Amino acid sequence: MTLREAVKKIKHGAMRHDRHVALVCSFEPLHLATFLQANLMERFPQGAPSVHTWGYDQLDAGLAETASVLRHCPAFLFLSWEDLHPGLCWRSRSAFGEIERSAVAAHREELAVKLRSWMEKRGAAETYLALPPPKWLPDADACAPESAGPVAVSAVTVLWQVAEELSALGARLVRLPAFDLDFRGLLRSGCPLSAEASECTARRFVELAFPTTERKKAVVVDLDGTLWDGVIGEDGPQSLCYGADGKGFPFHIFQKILLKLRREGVLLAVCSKNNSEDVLAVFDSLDMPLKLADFAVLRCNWDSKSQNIASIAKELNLGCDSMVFIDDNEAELEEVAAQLAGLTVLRTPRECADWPRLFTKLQSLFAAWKITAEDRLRTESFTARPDAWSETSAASDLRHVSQLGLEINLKQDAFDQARSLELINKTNQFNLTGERISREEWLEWMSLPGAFCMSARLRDRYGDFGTVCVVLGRQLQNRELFIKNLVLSCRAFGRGVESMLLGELTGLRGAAWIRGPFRDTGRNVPARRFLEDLGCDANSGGEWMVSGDAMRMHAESVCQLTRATVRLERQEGVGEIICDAKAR
Amino acid sequence: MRREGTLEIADQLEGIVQDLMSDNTVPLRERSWANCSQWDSLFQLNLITAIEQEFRTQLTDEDAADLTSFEAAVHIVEDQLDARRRAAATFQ
Repeated sequence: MTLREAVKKIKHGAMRHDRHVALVCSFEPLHLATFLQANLMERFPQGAPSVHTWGYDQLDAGLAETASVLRHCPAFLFLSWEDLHPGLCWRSRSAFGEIERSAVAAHREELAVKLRSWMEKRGAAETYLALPPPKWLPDADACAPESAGPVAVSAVTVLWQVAEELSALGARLVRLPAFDLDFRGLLRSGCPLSAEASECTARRFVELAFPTTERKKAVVVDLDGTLWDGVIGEDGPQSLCYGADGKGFPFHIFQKILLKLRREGVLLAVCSKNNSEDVLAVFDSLDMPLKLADFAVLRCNWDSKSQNIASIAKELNLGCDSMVFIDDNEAELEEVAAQLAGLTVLRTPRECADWPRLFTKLQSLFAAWKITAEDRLRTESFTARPDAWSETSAASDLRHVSQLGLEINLKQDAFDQARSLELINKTNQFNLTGERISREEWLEWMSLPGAFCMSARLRDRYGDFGTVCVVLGRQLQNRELFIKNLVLSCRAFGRGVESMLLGELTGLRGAAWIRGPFRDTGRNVPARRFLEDLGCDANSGGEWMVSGDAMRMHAESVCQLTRATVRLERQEGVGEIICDAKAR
Repeated sequence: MRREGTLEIADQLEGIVQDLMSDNTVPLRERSWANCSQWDSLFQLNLITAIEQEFRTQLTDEDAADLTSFEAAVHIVEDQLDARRRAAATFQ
């Protein structure tokens, strides 16, 4: 995007004045601010957040406002060397060479204290941080060209230490190319970034802060030529290459990356045209980074891969658009892509040089700033089941569920649980409206009279699923509950958690009627079915309504069928048993 | 005397100024820092960058300082493109 295009976009685009993004820096932001606004316009054509900036040498003013009135809006802090020490600036009045290494280090604490306090005041608001390239440092050292002297080394080390502290407090470090200093721009306007560097920086920030795609949830991998080099059926287990040297090296790294993804909550599955006994023998006899227990589902047979992946999706309760399939066979990839809309397919590289591209692609498809305990539990809840590989269909009837020893812990005030908002914004299939809620809207809703957010945590005999269900709403007059949204993690389908949560909410609030919106997103069939089970017509005007008595009776019968133990958490960790069907 | 290509350059510059500025009170080709309140230092910086990107050239410090009217902008860009053509001919 050129500057002309950017300005034009801003002139003709729609801007929201109730949503903001702050760009905080001590240099003149100039084109960076323009490109940031233009990129936001492109990302949000219906109405982009407005960019707030402060002028040259106004870092403190920017920090103060983004820690107070603009506390909740995303902030992008671009540090300069002079923020660390005033002498580390080409425009400084001090002579070059006057700065001592120790003087740079002495300023570290001053900057760290200021920024730590800023981060603490901002709380959970999203904060992005960019560091200046070492190339921008003025010549403060007596040393050879293309080398770094003690002052430069100290400045780089100290600023990274500050960044490390901020990162530990939740700041997200934005990695930028090592731009050259735009010396002309710096002297003319006070902006060290060229127009091109400004555009690149702004684009990267918007991509990171406002991603357009949702994080994928599962990887399905082929085996021969994908997880290892060699073919089981042809070469036998002992000929497979998977070790940290020679031909197997990239496969070894690939397995380790998959293992890392699994630890971050990504579900792994195998889909391979092989005899299952041969595959089990490979995992039994070889010491590879990935073990059999790391996979939630294994499909090793001679059926078509699209059929197998569809059945894996069904078993994991995922849509194909939440999954990635990796195979070395282009024909297989084509067959799968043609049959399963929305599935992301990737080919295993043939050349060593191509592997990093696959690794980067996986990183972007499964990117997450923070891995929560729930993310980790997701993989555990699948792999803790020894019979998972032989099951062909997910148990959906409540009779089967009654054997699972369900324990449901309800939390009355779940507004402060980060997982509540996360679940609402991640869930597609059981989501009454498909609506995504920003952090600001969340806080706005929380402050409304009668607003409530209740969540349910699920355990069964196979493991802890974490928080799986959230209801957000508001108590209205006439004993009426307005349900803004109800979401349920796909891992908890078919266990009646949503019914028990709504039933308990109805009882607690003494509600005579419960109503709310329903929007068909094309993907939320399970949510529609739930309303149909309640006897609601979700089609009439996009709104559903059920009486409090009917809701309680429905919840009671679900509780009986599932033989679930339901606890209401009044305080952290303290539960009161309100419904124990097993005890009846 | 009008040089070859002047019309095209003026037309292109007209488009740039139109996109960068929202004030339409003064006819576009007559605009300058003296008669147009939006022709300020920020606009001038934007105009320098836009000219450099659109014409793939780099203005000298003197050119940048002289960029105070539409007419001056046309002359500066003409000179830049002439110099580029001459340099290309020399190296052929």
